[in-house]
Amino acid sequence: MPRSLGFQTTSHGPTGPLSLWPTVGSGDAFEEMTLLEAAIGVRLVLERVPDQEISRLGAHGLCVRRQLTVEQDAPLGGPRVVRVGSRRLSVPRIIAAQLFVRLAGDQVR
Amino acid sequence: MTVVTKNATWESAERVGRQAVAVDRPPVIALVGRPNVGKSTFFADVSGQFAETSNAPGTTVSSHRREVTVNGRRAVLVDLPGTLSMTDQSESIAPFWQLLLEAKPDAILAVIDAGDLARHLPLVLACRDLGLPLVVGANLADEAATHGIELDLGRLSQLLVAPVVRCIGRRGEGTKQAVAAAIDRATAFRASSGTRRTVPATPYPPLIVARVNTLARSFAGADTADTAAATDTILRAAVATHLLPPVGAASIAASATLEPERWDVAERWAHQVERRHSVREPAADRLARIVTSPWPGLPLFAVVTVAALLLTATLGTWLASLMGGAWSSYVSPPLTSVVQTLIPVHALSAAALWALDSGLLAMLSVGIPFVLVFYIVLAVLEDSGYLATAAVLTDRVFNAIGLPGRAVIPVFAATGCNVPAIYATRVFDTRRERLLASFLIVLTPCSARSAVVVAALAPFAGPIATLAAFGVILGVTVVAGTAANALVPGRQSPTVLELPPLRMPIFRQVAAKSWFRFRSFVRTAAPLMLAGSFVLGLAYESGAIAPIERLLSPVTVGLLGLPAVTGVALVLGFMRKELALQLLLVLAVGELGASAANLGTFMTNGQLFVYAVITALSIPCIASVASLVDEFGWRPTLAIAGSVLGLALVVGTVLAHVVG
Repeated sequence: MPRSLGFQTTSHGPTGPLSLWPTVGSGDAFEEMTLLEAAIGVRLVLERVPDQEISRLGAHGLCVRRQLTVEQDAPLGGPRVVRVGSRRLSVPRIIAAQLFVRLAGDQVR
Repeated sequence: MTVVTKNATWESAERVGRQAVAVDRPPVIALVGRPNVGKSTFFADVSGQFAETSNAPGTTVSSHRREVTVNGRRAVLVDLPGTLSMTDQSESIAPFWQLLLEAKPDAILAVIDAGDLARHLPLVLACRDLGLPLVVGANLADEAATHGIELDLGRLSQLLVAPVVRCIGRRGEGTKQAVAAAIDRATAFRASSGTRRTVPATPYPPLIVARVNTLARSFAGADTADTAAATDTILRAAVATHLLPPVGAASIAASATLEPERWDVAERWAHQVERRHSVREPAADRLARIVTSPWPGLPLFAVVTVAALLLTATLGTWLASLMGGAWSSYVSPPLTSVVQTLIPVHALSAAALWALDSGLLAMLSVGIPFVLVFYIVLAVLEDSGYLATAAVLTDRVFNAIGLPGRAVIPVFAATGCNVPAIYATRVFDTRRERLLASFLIVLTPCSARSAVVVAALAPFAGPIATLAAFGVILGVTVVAGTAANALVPGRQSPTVLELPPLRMPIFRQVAAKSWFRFRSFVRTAAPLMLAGSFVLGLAYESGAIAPIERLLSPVTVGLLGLPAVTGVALVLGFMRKELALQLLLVLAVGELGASAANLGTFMTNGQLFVYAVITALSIPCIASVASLVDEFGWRPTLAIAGSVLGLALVVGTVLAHVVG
């Protein structure tokens, strides 16, 4: 399905998507993960946004190649609080699960 | 003629003058910017008059016009709702470009956040692409500096081919200069009316520019293809009436293609003009993280909410006793003598005293003190940005009611007054969300209803009972909202919410906002209160009250376990909610004697509890009903009002059995 939408597909490894949790210095550092899976406090680069969300999210500054950091998770499974530039955004988890990110260059040892 | 530059160019500029426009009218300057960038602060500062502002996105949901004079030159300033892009729209608000064209601007003043250029420039580029004179106000320059961001305004001005003015709107710095620059540009634009002009070279790839130029030719009339779309019809009309040059119309029609390019250009240009210094993280940012974290954010949220209510109750009670005592000692006795002397007919003089003495006393001891204090507390919470930031904490709660977390903003606004909150639901994407939010807003106690709850309970049953009443109202609202979410077809659409930075509220703005809201409250409530008290007085003196009370008593006495005297007051509460308590006092004094000015003498604490909750929950006031009809029509309004009334009666009946 992602390939049919024009996305590059990523191997999630034998243990599924959780194997993509960003471990600084690990071999997975250049692999993509969803924003939902990204660890708090790590600088990330937005890699892919679903086509149908490009303009809506772009208007908030969530564009491909933009740097961002997950700051917090709201209580009770609420949205993820993401810092983009000098501003903070509350990103619902359902949207975070559709955004693919990778570690920013300076986060990879 | 085509402008040749190193970049691809728009095809030139046809005759874009305003031959049809009278040159002697003041130029119209449209304020354009992303939500919560400070446009309304600009608007208020330059016009010297209050405008509703708040540290939260979506404060302005419709356009406002004001004539201003800057450096002795007149202009009309139009404050437009905040927008993320030229094509931004919701189900209830037309696309932003339509609102902009309706304003018929001679120039655009784009207000941007100096500390967040990359996200604000795309909208500025969209304005620039319209081909109208443009001035940029780089606002919030002080906050940018605390983040170590400095802008090379000269370079930005070169890139945009437009003046860029450094501003700090909250302090009034640079605002007038920016408007003056916009007036200059608008005047120069008009003076060259009818001549051929060029538009600035575009920073977009040649292929994109070629596509837009093709479209522009179509709008210029050379090509009549593809005219079926409504958007095209409106844009063609705008070109025909010289509101827009063809290339401007084409840039709107090609928004989907241009928008990603604008973001790329914005990113590049931001890198060119931003100078970043390493600074310690601002305290406001650290505090914002604390506010939105589960710990200690959640307990802090509870503390802030309870503190706001307690402050309103304590200060309000103190003010009420001060003003009520002064009125009874110094105003009431001479007023009674004067009225009785001037109006010799007993029934009429008594009715006049119901209005002028008891009515105004009730206003002073119930309406004014609690509402005034509440407005001040609300203004501080709004301007600090705390409310919008706390939206993150309440997101899941609102999700359960079918609403996004940002619903906390109109719902909190509803605690001031339901009417603007109902209009503020326009920011939601779907009619379903608007209806659900409006239902929730109508159930949310406004300042008048909160005043009734506090004034009826705090002095007699104590602060715990007051908090318990708000707890019951909150619980009922959540349950009713969840049920409504299940019953209304459709699903909630998840949305990204921009969290405003925390700011220290400015005393002048808090005072102006509280005073403005309070003044409108008094202007609306006082005449209604006087007229209501007078009619009530006449009805009482003529003996007409008793049959009405008897008619209502199966509900008031039978179901709710309240004294019969409460029936008429509850019904009249439809005019304005605070009347429910004020008129009850007036009525009780008339029927039961002066001692009834103390509610505790003829109602038990349990009855007061039921009465307060019923007043807070029952049918919305007449102004809220009018707003609902205006926004949704009669059927949804009747459905909302009917469900709320039914809910109030059920809750009241249950409470009467539990605490009555």
